[in-house]
Amino acid sequence: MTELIEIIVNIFIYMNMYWYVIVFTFVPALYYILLNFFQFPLITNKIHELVIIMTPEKIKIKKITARYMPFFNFKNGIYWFDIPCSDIDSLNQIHTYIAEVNQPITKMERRKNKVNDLITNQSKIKQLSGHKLLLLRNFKKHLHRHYTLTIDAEQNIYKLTPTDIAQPLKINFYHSIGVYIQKSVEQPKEQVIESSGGNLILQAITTQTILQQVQYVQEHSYYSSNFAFNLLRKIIRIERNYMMYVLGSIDPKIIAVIIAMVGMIAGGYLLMTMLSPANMLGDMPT
Amino acid sequence: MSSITIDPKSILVDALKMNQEKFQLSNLILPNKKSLRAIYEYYALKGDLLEFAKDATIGVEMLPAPPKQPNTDNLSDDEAERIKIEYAQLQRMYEDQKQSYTMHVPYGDFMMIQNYLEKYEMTLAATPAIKGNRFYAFTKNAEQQDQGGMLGFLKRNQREQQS
Repeated sequence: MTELIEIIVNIFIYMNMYWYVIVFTFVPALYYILLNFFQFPLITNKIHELVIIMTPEKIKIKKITARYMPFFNFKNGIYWFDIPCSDIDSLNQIHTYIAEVNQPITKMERRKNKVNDLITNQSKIKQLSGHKLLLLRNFKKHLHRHYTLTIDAEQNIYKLTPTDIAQPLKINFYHSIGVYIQKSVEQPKEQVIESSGGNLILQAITTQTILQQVQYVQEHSYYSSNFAFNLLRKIIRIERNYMMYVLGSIDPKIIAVIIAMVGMIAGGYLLMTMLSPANMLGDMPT
Repeated sequence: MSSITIDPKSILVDALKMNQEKFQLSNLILPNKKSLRAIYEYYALKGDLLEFAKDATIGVEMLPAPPKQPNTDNLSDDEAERIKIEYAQLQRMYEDQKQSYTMHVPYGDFMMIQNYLEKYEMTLAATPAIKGNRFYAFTKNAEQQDQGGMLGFLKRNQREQQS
């Protein structure tokens, strides 16, 4: 017990002696925590094309690095690109998706040629990367806690507005966001004439909306990102191995792994016998 | 009392003809038992592709009228033959459409899937050629089947002695 107290006291003495080292090592750590807690990824320093994927509680934001294929892969899902929405102020562009739904929320009508896309694009090219800011230039904007994202689905534009009310979806520990889709609804001619511009509706994307969409996808696999992902994986696998299946031969990779395993076991056994003390001893004394 | 002669081969053929696809599959002579995986993977992929392409708005009620049988009475032989071929093509197209609409799959997607899967289908169909005995069951007489080895030799001897 006394030894332990001695060690703890010594630690405190050293901390007191070299306090400046501790402070300098903590500065980057503190900055990293500050960045992660307070950055609002939609306020960027440069112009980016971003992907927003909404889960029932959270929003994931990724950056598009390439567009070689008509779709991109995120976790266990495939999502089809469409015309992005642009921000007139920041010039950023965004694609907004609900997790598990492979089309953007702004273009939910059945997209043609998905089957053709899957058949003809059989490579797994990474087209997304993480999106994190290293420098918070407009710190005041980043410090604002709640935002609303209003998307005009027809004109493909969006607007980011700070608000004081907490929003349903979380971006990180500090920020929350509400997504609203502006759509026009067809009304009888008489009503349109009477109310000027009254045929616009603002649909809020809430946890309930997301869950409803996910449920819809479970019934209609054409919109399921996970189904498309598994299908693409199956297409790639069968393209690669079909002749092997027909001939009933074993995958050469499995044979290579078995040979490597046997080799490793044999090598280990040989090394152990060579280095064992019985072999190192000389001859029995006579 | 009249004796009825039943040809077991024709019964087998008639039974297999009930399902053309299964009949063709039963004719496959695969190089290996493990080759069954090729058939499994092919049908799994086909099923998934058709499931993915499903569109709830498409149904059998959208099916157009079947092509009408052409009247070839007053035509020359060549002309009649050409019209019959055309009719057969239209009939085949109609059958494909019927199949795709029954499965709620758009006709374009259905044809695309068929075309894509053709290479796998053809590879499977070509497997009998590896052994070269596709119609083994129909060309070889069961009575003449000889076994190799000691057992076969004894049986052959027995048969010769009996005759």
